[in-house]
Amino acid sequence: MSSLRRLQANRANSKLSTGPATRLGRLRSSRNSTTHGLSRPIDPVAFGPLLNQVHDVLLSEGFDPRQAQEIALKILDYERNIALQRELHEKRLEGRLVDAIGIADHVYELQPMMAWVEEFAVKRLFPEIPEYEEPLREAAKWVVKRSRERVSRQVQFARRRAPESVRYLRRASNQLIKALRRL
Amino acid sequence: MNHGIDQDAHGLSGTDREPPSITDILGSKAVLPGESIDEYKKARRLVIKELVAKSPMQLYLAEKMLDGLWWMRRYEEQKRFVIADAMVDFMVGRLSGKVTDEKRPELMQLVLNDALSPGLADILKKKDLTIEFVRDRSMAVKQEQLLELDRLIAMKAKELEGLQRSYEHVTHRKLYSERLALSVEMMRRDVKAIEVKTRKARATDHELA
Repeated sequence: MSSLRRLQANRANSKLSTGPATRLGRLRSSRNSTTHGLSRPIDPVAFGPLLNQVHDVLLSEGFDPRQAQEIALKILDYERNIALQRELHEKRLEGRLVDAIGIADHVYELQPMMAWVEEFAVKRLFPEIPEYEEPLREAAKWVVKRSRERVSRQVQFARRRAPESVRYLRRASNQLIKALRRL
Repeated sequence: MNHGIDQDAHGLSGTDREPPSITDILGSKAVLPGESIDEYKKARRLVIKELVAKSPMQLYLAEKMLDGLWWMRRYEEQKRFVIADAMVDFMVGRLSGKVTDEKRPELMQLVLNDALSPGLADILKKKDLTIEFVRDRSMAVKQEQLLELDRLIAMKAKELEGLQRSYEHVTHRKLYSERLALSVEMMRRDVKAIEVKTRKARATDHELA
């Protein structure tokens, strides 16, 4: 449990950040927790051109417009699931299921902090100037902690993404099959 | 599936050429890097010919069935690779000095081809190991991963079954709808016949009264 001092500090710090302000920033941050986006239904606007083409093909085959629209949506949903499976399979074969680029980016973001760590190491080598030692030690701890958190998040994300995507693929294929059998 | 129908993958006549399918519109890729596109195309032609798929929906479903089989084969291949990789790991670990990391790709190829050289077999024998033991240990180590792949294969098999039923349904849709229309018509006639009988019976009752 946090101490009263820590609680007050957290509250004061939270007032400094008001979150994303612009529309674009809010849109970007709204996707922060997106793992695969497969639980969202197909957006008829975003998939408009493809949807229309598939719809037209189905109409030409004698489906009524409502059925054609339903099946076209199911086909697009199934296809996006298959595309993700293909991507994951490729990554698995190449042994890069965990987003190494994301981790590397984060390490790059931490570069200024790493400079502090380096300075800390120098101070350790030259203990005759000890005045910065404590803050630098804290900084080093913070860097290590944040990096560990980031890596563990990446690993958890990759582990969760694969089985979840299989579940969504099963759902999409079942829905397509059922829609076709309702004809 | 009759694999003897199409002997020549490239020598198709004009009548054998398939119309563009939904997959062409969506632009989805069926093969992964390293897989043979020609082999896939040949299998596609065979499946389409076997199922006599003509309409775009039939073509799409036939392709999805083939994709299901393709995925099952892919997972089987991956299982083989996982076991071979674990076997190589085990051998490199146990035979350190004799088998080094530099020899890993070569060893991997040998294990995948199930063709260990007599030299390596001797080294294994000196360590009181057999290739079967190494394989069993590797399978035990990678059990979770292998089970996951088995689950994926089972899922694909179920999906394939569903797609086959849907294909049959789509193919016989017109027949079903005609049959339904006929049965509705028959029911309508029956109802009319009952109405006529009822009217006649009422009329007779009135006359008698």
